[in-house]
Amino acid sequence: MMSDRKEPKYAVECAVKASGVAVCYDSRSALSDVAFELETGNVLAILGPNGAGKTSLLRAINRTAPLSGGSISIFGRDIQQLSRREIASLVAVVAQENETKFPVSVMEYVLGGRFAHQPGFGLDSEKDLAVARDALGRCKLCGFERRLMNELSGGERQRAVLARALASEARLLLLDEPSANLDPGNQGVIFQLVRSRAEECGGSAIVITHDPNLAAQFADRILLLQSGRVFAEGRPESVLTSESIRAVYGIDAIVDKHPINGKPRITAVY
Amino acid sequence: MKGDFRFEKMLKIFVVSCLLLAIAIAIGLIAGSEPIDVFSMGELERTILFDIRLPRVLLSATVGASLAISGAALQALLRNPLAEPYLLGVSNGAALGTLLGLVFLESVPLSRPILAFAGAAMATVIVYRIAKSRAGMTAERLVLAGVIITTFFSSLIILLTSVLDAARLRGFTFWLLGDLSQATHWNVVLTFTSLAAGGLLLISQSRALNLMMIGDRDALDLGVETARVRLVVFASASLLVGAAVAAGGSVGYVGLTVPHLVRLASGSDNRFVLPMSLFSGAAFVVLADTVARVAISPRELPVGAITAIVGAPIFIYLLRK
Repeated sequence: MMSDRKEPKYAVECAVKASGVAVCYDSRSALSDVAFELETGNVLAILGPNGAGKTSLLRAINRTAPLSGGSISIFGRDIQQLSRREIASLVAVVAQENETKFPVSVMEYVLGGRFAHQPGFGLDSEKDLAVARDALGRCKLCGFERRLMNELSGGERQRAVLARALASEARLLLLDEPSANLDPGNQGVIFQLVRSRAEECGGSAIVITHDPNLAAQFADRILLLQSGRVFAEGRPESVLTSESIRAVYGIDAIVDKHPINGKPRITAVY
Repeated sequence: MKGDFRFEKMLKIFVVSCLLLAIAIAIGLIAGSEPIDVFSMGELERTILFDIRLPRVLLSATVGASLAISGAALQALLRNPLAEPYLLGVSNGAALGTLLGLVFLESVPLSRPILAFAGAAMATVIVYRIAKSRAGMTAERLVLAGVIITTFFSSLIILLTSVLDAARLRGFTFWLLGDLSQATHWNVVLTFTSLAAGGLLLISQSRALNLMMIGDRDALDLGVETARVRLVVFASASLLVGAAVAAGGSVGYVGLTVPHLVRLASGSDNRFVLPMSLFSGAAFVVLADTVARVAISPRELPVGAITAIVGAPIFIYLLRK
């Protein structure tokens, strides 16, 4: 489905430019010397073993993990020069949802995505409501407005988190294992949405996943991390080879072509 | 009531809460050991109504409003429906400050409210530090931290009271349980001023608190300056609790009971919960104090005993939930 990509409606620009990025927690180094560029309209998948620094990299991009070296710019603007609100209006994050002790309705939750666009006290405007309803519709959550977040199923909740990110109208989406614990149907819904979002609004997305096949199917670029450094970066077919998988994950894998779309297909051999 | 939030809703809530408070104030003014017929008041009735009951009812209202809105804001900030100034030890911190002012700086003006504020702020910061571990903050850990601070400050208070003479000691013990009989004009002005400032500051953070209620990380991602919001809420709550305790003692469970009932009625959106808690907290303590005055009249009960009788079962319910 990715082979016949539409012509981009927006001029291609640099969505993310990272160079020499380093992140440290206390004295432990989580990332060092990470550099990559991502153009608008493209989806980047970050792959790598547990503890390779994937989440730290995602966190560094919206400055929720402080940089200890290097620089990151989003849509040509240095993140160090931006306020939290400005970053939030450019970058939306989809992380694992944590449970709340308070009853929060789906609509309230999704309207949270509008925070960066609202003035201080923040009454919800007609536009806020329209954008939130549109996001709910895209995530197949029509009719869920008044349901409570902690009454939803795992797939519905994850779609609500994505709807909140879409409601922020941020052009860059960062997703931290958005499809973990989801059934294949829900995984598909989420990745399709991320793809179409990147293509239609001149945005782009960075997705952390543990599934190399999903990454190969949906992403334009793959960033393979190992021990806080970039092991390889490029198109799926050049990064996902049996050599790189052995080097990074320490397992043997057969890499052949997907019979329909020709993307790399990885089968682990244990 | 859940979902979107707009101006008309806000207005409706405001009118209903004002009405509720007005009814409570009317009851508080009319009920008492000396029944008052509003339509045929003599000189004595007028004095009782305006010089004795009115200041007391106003003080009850400002104290209740301060404690309830502080509780609501702390609960959202700490993501814990059990957070409450009294149970977290913040009230005890303020009580210790007040007592220090009473014992050592009695002649210095404003020393008691300022020290009460300092005590409340200190207790808040210590509880937060104890409750927050590397793994994050659990509800149980926060409650335990509150117990530690409460008992620690209580023992300091007991040590200090040993220097008080017997007459003052009795008054002080009564005050510790919540006592609104010291309704001087000065106390009313003090609590009203701090309520105006602290209440507005807290309400201005209600949208950010909605997001922090879900998670600090979520809030940060969505554009909230979480460190600044935390500072504003801690400082405002300390101001409100400090003034309320300096004027009316430690009236417990108001900050737990009122926001809980408000959330049951209107959902968790802090743009509702904070202003509603302010008005309902005022009404709640006005009514509780009326009961405290009337129940065994002409003698009085400490108002804190009444609020605790209502609040403790709600605490147990929330803990088990």
